[in-house]
Amino acid sequence: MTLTSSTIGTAASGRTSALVTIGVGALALAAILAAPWLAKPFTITLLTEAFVLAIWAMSLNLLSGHAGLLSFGHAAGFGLGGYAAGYFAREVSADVILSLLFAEAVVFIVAALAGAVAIRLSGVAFSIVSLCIAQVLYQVAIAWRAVTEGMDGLLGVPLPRLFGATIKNGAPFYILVSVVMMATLAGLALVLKSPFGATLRAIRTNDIRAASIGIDVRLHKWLAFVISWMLAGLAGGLMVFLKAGTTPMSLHWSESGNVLIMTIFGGLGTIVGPVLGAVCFVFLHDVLTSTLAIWQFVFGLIFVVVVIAFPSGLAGLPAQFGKLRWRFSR
Amino acid sequence: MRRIGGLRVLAAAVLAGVSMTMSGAIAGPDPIRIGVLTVRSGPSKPIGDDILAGIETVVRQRGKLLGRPIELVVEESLFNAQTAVTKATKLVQQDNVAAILGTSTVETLALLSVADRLGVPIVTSNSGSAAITRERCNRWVFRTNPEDLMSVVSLEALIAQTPRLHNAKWFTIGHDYPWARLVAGATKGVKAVQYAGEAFAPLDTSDWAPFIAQAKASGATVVIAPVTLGVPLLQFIQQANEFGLTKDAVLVSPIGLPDWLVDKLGEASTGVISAGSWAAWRTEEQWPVTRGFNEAHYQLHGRVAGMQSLQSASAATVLFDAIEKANATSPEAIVKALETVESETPVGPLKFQAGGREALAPLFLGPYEKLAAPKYGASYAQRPTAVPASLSLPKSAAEYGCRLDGTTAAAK
Amino acid sequence: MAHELNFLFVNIVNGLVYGSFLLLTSLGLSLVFGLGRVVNFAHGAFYALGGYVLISVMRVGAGFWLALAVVPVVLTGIGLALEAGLIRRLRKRPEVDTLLATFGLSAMLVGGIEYLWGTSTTIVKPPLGFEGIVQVLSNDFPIYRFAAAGLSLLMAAGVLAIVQWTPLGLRIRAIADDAEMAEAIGVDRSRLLWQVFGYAAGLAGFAGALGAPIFAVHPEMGLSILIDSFLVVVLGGLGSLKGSTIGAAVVSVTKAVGGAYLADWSTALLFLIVASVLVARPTGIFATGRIA
Repeated sequence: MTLTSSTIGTAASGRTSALVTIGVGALALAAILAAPWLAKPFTITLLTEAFVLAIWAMSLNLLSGHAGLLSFGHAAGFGLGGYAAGYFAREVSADVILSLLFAEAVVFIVAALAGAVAIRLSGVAFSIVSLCIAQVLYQVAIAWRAVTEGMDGLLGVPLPRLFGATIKNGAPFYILVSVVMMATLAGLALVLKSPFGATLRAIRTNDIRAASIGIDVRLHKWLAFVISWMLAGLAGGLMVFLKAGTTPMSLHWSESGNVLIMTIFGGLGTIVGPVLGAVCFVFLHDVLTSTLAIWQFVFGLIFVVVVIAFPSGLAGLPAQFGKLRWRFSR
Repeated sequence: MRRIGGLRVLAAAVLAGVSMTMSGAIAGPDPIRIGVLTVRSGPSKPIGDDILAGIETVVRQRGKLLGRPIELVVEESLFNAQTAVTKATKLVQQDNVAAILGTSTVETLALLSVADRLGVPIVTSNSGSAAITRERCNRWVFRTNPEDLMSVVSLEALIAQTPRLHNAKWFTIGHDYPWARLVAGATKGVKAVQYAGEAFAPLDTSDWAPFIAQAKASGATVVIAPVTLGVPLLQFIQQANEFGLTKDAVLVSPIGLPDWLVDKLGEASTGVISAGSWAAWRTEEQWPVTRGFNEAHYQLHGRVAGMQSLQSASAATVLFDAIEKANATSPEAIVKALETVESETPVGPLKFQAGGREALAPLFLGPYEKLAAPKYGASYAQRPTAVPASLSLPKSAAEYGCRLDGTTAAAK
Repeated sequence: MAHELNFLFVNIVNGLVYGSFLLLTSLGLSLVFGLGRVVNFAHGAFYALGGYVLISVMRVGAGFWLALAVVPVVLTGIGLALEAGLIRRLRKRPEVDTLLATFGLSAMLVGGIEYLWGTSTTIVKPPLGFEGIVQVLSNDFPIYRFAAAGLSLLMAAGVLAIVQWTPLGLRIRAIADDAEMAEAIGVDRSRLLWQVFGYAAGLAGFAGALGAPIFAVHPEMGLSILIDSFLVVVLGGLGSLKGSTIGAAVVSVTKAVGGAYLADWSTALLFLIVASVLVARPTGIFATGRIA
């Protein structure tokens, strides 16, 4: 696996930077867990939503940033997971672990099939086929009224329960979501540093060359696809508990657009970028829609400015400023 | 959050602060905050504009509540369920509103699931979905507008009073929403109706030609259109005209047309009969409260009070009366007062059905026509005949599946 | 039987009318992608702007046809300015950057429309002499729909002819075929992309204005036609104008006929068809350029 070390080469850096990373990580961890005692209730509400979306954005980042498969239909896994978890919680048991496991099983089955078809493609064809898959699921959610209740949506999902105790909205649910989000972040960071992550990046860079050195390109793409959908399903399942329901709109292409925007905004192909992107997205969206009738204009303007000025997204900001300083010091 | 009269409130707050620091004098009473959750941007904004305008007019007419000023806190719902939940939470957690007004079906359905968590009364005036006060009813969620099933029941009255609808062949063109299917199903069940077929269009339909073609092929002479109010309904009516469908068939709108839409349609609106508007400003010819409201509305907003303005104003009137009756702003006290309050509103005298959450609201049937002389800036309007709720709503809430005791027990 | 066939006929005709609008928006989208690898999410906003420019010009007192002629000129100008001011800066960046930028641009344009013209919907009456109904095989069709479809097809044919037979078209085809080689023999790629982006905006705006009497004008009118246009372009093969023509027919007829027989399932059918075609032929029906 000589290829592995050379591809990670960019990430390999001195011991000091590793220490800095750990320090910053620990600080962030402490701040996130202490937030319920420091911030206002509504800030916690927004943060909860942002962290759920962060899991979703990370899942897209795995597929699009690292495996190079740009999905225009990433609402599929999210919406599907939401419906499955919500239905299970309402009809069978509100136990959060059981509900999410059920959701993951459903998402796995659909993702395994959809993935087997979709990963045969790459580039724009993949993007459009992923959009098609999500739109078909959207239509199913509207039409399969016996289960989904159509456009009214799946309503009345109870509060989640964990080991027999009800998890209230607000701080308790926030802590649950934060832990899941950080576990996902850490897990993904490990996976992406592993040979598997390096292989994905090799495929992204040049899949023909990757195949020629013996990498099973299709298998790896399929794995990335399925893992990505399942993480999206996890986010969807958490969201349905937060909102106590879901609607077919959770599968609509506009939602796929939102998560794509969050991810690219945060930094496609980075590790923490999607989290930053999701948090910024949620808070910006809330402030702008509440204060401005022309919020769309400002929202769009911010994206355009960020793309032009900060090509690698929010996560690339420190590096960019670092480079700037380096340039001045010369 | 856009505050109405924000500057004035700010100035008052600054003055109060200054006077407090200077002399320790007592500041004015805290305002009572009322949340308004509706759509504030995009093509559906005119609906939200009317809803907000109606509530603003009532606030202006009232001035004060329990001796305290009323402050409206307006939030954008984007007509999206997820956003509506977040913004309603914001209204409760951050703005401490006493109640929420202004919601439509999308928001109300979403809020039903979290109503127990929000813990404030929600009085909706623009939600057609029958389920909201039937099988899904919740102790926190009240509705002042008549729901879709009431509209359908009143179809028989409409057919009886309209010669053009006698011995007609009916066809449904609707959006693929559960409420549209409900309207279609119920229409089929009406005794006097000979049913020719139905078609449900995808929600993002902009070209209605395929569905109009189906109606034409069926030989329908009446087309009932449970289509979302706003741009889609406007496109549908315009294209029905374009294809000459309105020449062969009468269009029946199960929930009426918003007046801003009537204004845009102009002459085309005269081919439409409403099978149950939630309000009609020409009720003022019989009911002086409506006239007073219409004049205040015109003075404040410079346009005619539309269907949604009249309805949202009625919801606001009922809520404000309940707060005065309770002589308190605690959520529990307001809910309790709402259950028994009787109000004189712009749609007529209103109270909620005992044991339920649906107001005994009248429906307004009848065609749209050109006015002899424009009034309040309107040239076309509905000629309404009121059908009382006693004819359209089952006698008791339990009869249509609303069991509040059960949900209350579950919530506690 | 005759009745059934007639119903099918009516719906195919309805589909092709919508398809002619779709063709205009798709051609521009396809050209811009084929030449510059720009996935232009703002294309739908240009379509909407076309409708609004039409309204404004008519309010000044111009008749429908004059206003319709002014729209593509204005929109081409807007397109040229936006390309020079924004898209050009991203030319050396990955495709996702232009995607995000044009997404932001789209939101800005829609927000700008709401600010300048308000959010409410405007009905545009068909021009004088085109208000009525024409009977084809004893079926009613609005005259204006036929006129508009005819005009769209004429415009589309003009675009195809320009690409096929003029010096400008020669350069466009050269860049689409092999950009590096074309540049090596002296084609100014940057300038060409700028021009094509402008013309594409003009075409989209023209389609929006032409469709105004049918679909009415509102700020988000470009969204659904944008998605349909993407399907058309990818289905036909990115960068292939012949493919876009076939794609537009397939998408629009599927929507109309599917809508008539399957109602709400028609969109799902459309997406299934597109997905199936792409799985069988990832480059679309007629691929010319290389797919990234």
